[in-house]
Amino acid sequence: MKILQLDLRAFGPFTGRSLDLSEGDAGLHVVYGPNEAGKSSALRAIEQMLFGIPARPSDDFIHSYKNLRVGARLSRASGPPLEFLRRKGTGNTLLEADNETPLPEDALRPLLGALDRELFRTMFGIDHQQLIQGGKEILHGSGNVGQLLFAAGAGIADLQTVLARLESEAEELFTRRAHTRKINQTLKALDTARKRARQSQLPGEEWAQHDEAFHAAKMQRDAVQQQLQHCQRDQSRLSRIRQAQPMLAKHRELLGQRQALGNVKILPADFPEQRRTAITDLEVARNDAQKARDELQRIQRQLESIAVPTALLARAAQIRELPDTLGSHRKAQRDLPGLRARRELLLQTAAEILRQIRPELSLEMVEPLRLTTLQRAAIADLGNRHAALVQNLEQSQQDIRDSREQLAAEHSQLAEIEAPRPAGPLKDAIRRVQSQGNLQQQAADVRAELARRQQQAAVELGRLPYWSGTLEELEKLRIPAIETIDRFEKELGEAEQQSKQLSDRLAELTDARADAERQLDESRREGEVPGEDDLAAARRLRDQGWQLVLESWRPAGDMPTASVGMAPDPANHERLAEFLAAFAPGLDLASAYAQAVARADQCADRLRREAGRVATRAGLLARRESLGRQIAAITQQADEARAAQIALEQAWQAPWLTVAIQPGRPREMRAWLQRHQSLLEEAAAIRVRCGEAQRLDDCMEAARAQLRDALAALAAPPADGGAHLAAMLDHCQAVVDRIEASHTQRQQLQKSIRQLVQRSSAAEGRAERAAAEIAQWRAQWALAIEPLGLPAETIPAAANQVVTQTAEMFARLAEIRDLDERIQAILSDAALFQRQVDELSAALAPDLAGQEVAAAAERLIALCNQAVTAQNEQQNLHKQEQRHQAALVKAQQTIDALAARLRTMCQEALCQRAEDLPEAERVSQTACRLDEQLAALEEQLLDLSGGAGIDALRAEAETINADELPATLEQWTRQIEQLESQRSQLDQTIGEERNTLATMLSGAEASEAAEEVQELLAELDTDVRQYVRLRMASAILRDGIERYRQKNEGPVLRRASELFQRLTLGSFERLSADCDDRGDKVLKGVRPGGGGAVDLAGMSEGTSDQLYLALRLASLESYLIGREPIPFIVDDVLVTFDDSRAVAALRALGELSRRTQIIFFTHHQHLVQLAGQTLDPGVLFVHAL
Amino acid sequence: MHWQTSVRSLRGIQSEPMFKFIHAADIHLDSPLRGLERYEGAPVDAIRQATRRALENLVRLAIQNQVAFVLLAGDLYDGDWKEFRTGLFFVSQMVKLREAGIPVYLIAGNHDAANKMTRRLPLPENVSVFPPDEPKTLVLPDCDVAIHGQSFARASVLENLSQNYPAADSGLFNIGLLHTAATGREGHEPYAPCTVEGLRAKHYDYWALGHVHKQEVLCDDPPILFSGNIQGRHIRETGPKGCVMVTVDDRHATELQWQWLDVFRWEYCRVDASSATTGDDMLDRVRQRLSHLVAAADGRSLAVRVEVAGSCRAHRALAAEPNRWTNEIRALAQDVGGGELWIEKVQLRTALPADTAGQSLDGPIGELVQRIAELKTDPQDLANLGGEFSDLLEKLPPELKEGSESLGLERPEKLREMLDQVEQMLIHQLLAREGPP
Repeated sequence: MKILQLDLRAFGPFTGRSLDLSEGDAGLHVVYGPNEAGKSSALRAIEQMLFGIPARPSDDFIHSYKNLRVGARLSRASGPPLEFLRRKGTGNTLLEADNETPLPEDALRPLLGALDRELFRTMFGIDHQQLIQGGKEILHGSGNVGQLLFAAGAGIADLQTVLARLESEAEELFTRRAHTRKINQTLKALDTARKRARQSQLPGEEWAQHDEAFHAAKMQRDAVQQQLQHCQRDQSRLSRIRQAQPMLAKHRELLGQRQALGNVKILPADFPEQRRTAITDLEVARNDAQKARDELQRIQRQLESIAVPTALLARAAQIRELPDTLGSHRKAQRDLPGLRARRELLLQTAAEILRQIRPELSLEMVEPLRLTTLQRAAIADLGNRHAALVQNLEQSQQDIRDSREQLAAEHSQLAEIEAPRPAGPLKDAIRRVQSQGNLQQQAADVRAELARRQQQAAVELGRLPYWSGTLEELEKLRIPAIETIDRFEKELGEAEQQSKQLSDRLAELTDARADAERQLDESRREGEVPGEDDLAAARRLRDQGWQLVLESWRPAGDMPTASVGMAPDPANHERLAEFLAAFAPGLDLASAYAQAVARADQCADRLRREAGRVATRAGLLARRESLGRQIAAITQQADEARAAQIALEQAWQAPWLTVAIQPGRPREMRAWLQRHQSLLEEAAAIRVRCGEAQRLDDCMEAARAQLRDALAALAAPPADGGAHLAAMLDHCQAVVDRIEASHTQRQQLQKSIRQLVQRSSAAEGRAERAAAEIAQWRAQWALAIEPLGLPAETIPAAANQVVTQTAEMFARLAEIRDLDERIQAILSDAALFQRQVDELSAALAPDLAGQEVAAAAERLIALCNQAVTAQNEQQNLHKQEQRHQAALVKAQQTIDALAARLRTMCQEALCQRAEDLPEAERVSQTACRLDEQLAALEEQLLDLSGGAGIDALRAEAETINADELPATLEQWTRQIEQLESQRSQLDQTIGEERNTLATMLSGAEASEAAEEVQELLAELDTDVRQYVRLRMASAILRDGIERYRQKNEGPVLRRASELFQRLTLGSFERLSADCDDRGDKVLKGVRPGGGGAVDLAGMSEGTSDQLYLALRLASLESYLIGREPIPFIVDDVLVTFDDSRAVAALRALGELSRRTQIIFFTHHQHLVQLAGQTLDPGVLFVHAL
Repeated sequence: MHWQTSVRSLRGIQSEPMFKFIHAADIHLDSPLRGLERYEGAPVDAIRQATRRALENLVRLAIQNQVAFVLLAGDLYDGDWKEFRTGLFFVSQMVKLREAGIPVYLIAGNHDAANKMTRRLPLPENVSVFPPDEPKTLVLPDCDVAIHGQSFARASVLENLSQNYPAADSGLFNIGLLHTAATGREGHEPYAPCTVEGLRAKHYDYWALGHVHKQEVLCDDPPILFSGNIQGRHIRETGPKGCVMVTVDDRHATELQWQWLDVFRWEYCRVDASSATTGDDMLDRVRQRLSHLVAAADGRSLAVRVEVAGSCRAHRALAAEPNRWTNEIRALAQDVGGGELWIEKVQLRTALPADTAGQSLDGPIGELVQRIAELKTDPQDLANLGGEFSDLLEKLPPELKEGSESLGLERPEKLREMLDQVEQMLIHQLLAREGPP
């Protein structure tokens, strides 16, 4: 197969690009592309063209995923070239060159055989990284020929790593002896789990044992419980008897007392009370009977003294009515004259009225004048309406008159109002001026502020130190910046600080030196202390003395003189004199010398004795000297510092002096600068205010002009004063107000006139309607008053009067009729009354005959009343009599009953008489009390007998000795305690066994361990499978490597040896394969000229890369023999080769290209040039991306 | 508690139901679930004491339905199981039935006969055990039932026990209680063999059989059936597990209802990966199948064996990294099953697609492929290869060496199956690397 053309139709950065790779037999096609040209995309394109575009492509950055297309024209061993396109997808990804017709998915299979993407990439591709990796494997590997050939043959760069990984993964799972491997651990865990499952199983025996113990304890407990109950029962019985014994004694005693009383009649408890009550009641009843008899006698006497007139009483009812009749008779007699007078008066009044309204008629003829209610109402109604109708008409006429007058007045007003003028322009002018605010006030404010500021600035300026002049001049000054001031302040401060520090230090040092001097003085005053100098001087003097002594001893030569004091030579003499002078005069040499020795010793002694003082003094001296030196040094520094300070101050003043300012300290000048700054700001502010004032003046002038123009247009008088804007505004506003007022007034008048005209015409309409209504009324009216006999023109008031009078007259006539009836009735009543009285008098009191009727009636009434009183008294006495008789009967009955009762009681108590009863009662009570006590005791004893009865209890108690009882009871208590303790122990045992059984039941450890065993087995299964796979893979791979070596070693190694010699430019002569100690074939490089074999590990990195390339090329050549060629894709492998070795490699590739197509991608222009210089044009074809 | 019910009415009920009873067998109490490798996210708590939970379900079912009695056709425990607590748990459940007034009739199966614990266990009085030496008939006067049964005397009983069972007592409802392998069932010892004809000849109204763990109705008239075990314990005991509830009317007609008691269910998930181009394609299909299984499990936890087969382009990727894909499927199961799905095992049995399978490779890789092909055909060669890991084999526990589910590393067919994976693993390791930059 050869790629004749690569179509980068839509792939990576390419659109419609194609590479023509058809030239040459197969050809070495160098594809050059600088960075970013798409070299990597082109590389991927070849692979994806052959094997498909992956699901997540990296070349869809221009063409979308769906539109990716890469194609090729491939030559085939048989048949014409195959041309196709590849698209992205899961199926049908091959298309014909028309980009439409699908090709079968396996169309390429005949060309590729079993080759797949991975194999193609490794076996028929090499890139720089792979080359380096392959070289490294060679360097670090064992040089095993089989592995090297296998790796190079398949294009695998990391075969050893793969082998190692397979083995190490297997070892991580299991090794025979180790304990930490996964499978080993699982096996151990499995053992443990099995053991646990076994051990934690609960054996049936153990459970049965505890179950048995549990039941035994339960039975034992029941037995003890029974025994305990028995004991408790006995104990209880004895303690009952013990309690009962004293009670039995008491019982016997009471029984004796009761029997002594003998047979007693027991009386009821209330018997004495009943007896006492009966006797008392008897006495009371006897008293009552006596009283009743006395009363009856008194009543009888009274009855005999009373008499009653029965005839009178028989007619009493009739007589009792007389008083009423008498009263009304008398009243009627009094009223009669009045009634008659009134009748006369009424008759006269009626006649009078009639005369007024119809003089021609008499009272007997008036009936036709009577009006019905309806007629009266009609007349009243019409009368009422009349006034309203008339008023209506008059009102309408009045309205018409009023409207007309008002209209005339308003027309004349309208005529007086001035003609309309347009006020608009003037109003606009006013609004414009006002919209600028109160200009005049603003101008005044600004000027006031300006003046204030100018004044303030002048004051500030006057107070500004160091400088004088105007504000304008001040503004022009070139003043140093604040930063300069800061810098000088800092530097001057530091200089001053330094000076001060130095002078402080100087003062300190001077003080210290003075102190040292003082201490020295003190030390001196304490006594002179010898110093080392003194000692040295004393010794020198002593030595001098000794020299003189020696000399005096010495004879002329070098022998000492024999005696001291012989002074031979003058020089010596002089020295002697000098020596002696140090001592008191008059001493000879010997004494002086002795003194000199003494002095030196003394001095040395003192030095030793007063070593402290000596040292102090020496120290003080040294300190004084050191301080002196320091003072000198500091003084010098202080001088320098001062000079520097002066220079600095001059530098500080210089810029100020140019503006004629003698500056103060920087801090002052900073304050000055601030004031200066604020003055500058003030000056700026003043300028702003000046401008503002001017602007306001201009505005005002413009406003005035506008207003003047507007006034002129209205032909209004200009404002007086003229200049003042506010006054002018007021004036203009007044003009506007006036114009607007007259306008409003005119509109109001016109509206009013329209309304008046309307009102006038409405009033006329109303007047017409009123006149018509009145005419109608008149017709109705004439009809209504006709029955009264009045003429039609009678006014309603008159007609009403007639109606009222007629009604009054009829009222009088009716009253007269009533009076007539009443008089008639009174007369007939009086006659009846007379007849009644006469009849009664004749029957009951004949003496009254002939008396006046009223007096006779009164007498009859008095008689009747007397008779009634007597009858009442008699009846009352009869009633009293009956009551006392009843009381007497009742008292007698009570007396009889009580006597019988007392007799019965005597019988009951077995007594003859009532007087014996109290004694019988006493005996009965005593017997009762004893019986009660006995009953209570017997009840208690019955309780204690436990239901057996008192006799049984007594019998039982008698069998038991009361003295022995406490001891017996004690014995029982002890036994009960013992049994209870036994029971409690058994309860505990039962509880323990129950718990043990429950615990045994609760665990699930055994089944859980069994479950764990199963889980571990499952885990083991997985791991063992993986281990087996790894071990098999490892074994098969080693086997395969060995077999491949055997088949390919000879030809491939020969060719590789040759290529290696060329690629290393003869640095190695050849490759050799020898057996090592273990019998494995190991590859070595042989140096030329008998230089010996070199282990691969000893080669340089470059050489090992070249060896890998040699092996790859040799394997490929060997593979291609007799097989369909597959293009070899080389990606920039030569970048680390020097030019000469690169040339050698290119030549080798050129040779290979005669067997199969080689596509060589590179970024490097010089490789292209090298190839061009090196290779035959029939072999090399260069393409640029 | 949900009861899945499938009704199998053999003779429709024409009369009023007279009584109900339950037929169960092969409780295998505390027998551990097998083959479940623990991994992060597996529902470990769901498998704990699953057989106990299932027995509790049985007892609850009996009480709720107020059955007249319960039949247990043998194998209450595992034969080699000595944990007395297991027996006591059984007793505690029987006591519950006693309190509900429900008697239990049971025969000892081969496992029970082998188990020493059985003898010592104090059974409550509502439990009747048939004797081992000869068949016995128990008559229940309350419901006119005669139960005939015989226990196993020892683990291995090879004679036909049913032969000696008495003839039916006419007028009563006759039930035969028998622990048997019938005419032999794969994976079950051929104990107490018998035939359907032999059983029918007794003219009983119902044969309650035990021993075979898979539910199976041998005969519809009269009903002769294995109720199967009540809780699956490994991947060969798949699907729903439970007991039969039998309703009997006054004319001795029966209605059978399967009642599922299992708390943890075993299922196969067979996935056809044909034409899957990538591992993710395969995962999508597995996800789909697993979802169906989860939906059908009615809220129970599941153990699922995933078996992926078929020729596909994904074969290389799958075979090269079996552990990786196993973990992917486990993760998937977490997702689908909400923590209630346990992937028991993943078996990747895919093959290369036909178009590439035939092609022979050249070069070094071709050499490897050829070598593996040779190994598959040469038994001696294969045996030699087995020597590579003989050091491990001798240390492995017997469970991994024996039985149909074991590794079987001595068996050539097992090794050949693994060689396919090894081939792809090698190619993957040698050739897989990042594509060109």
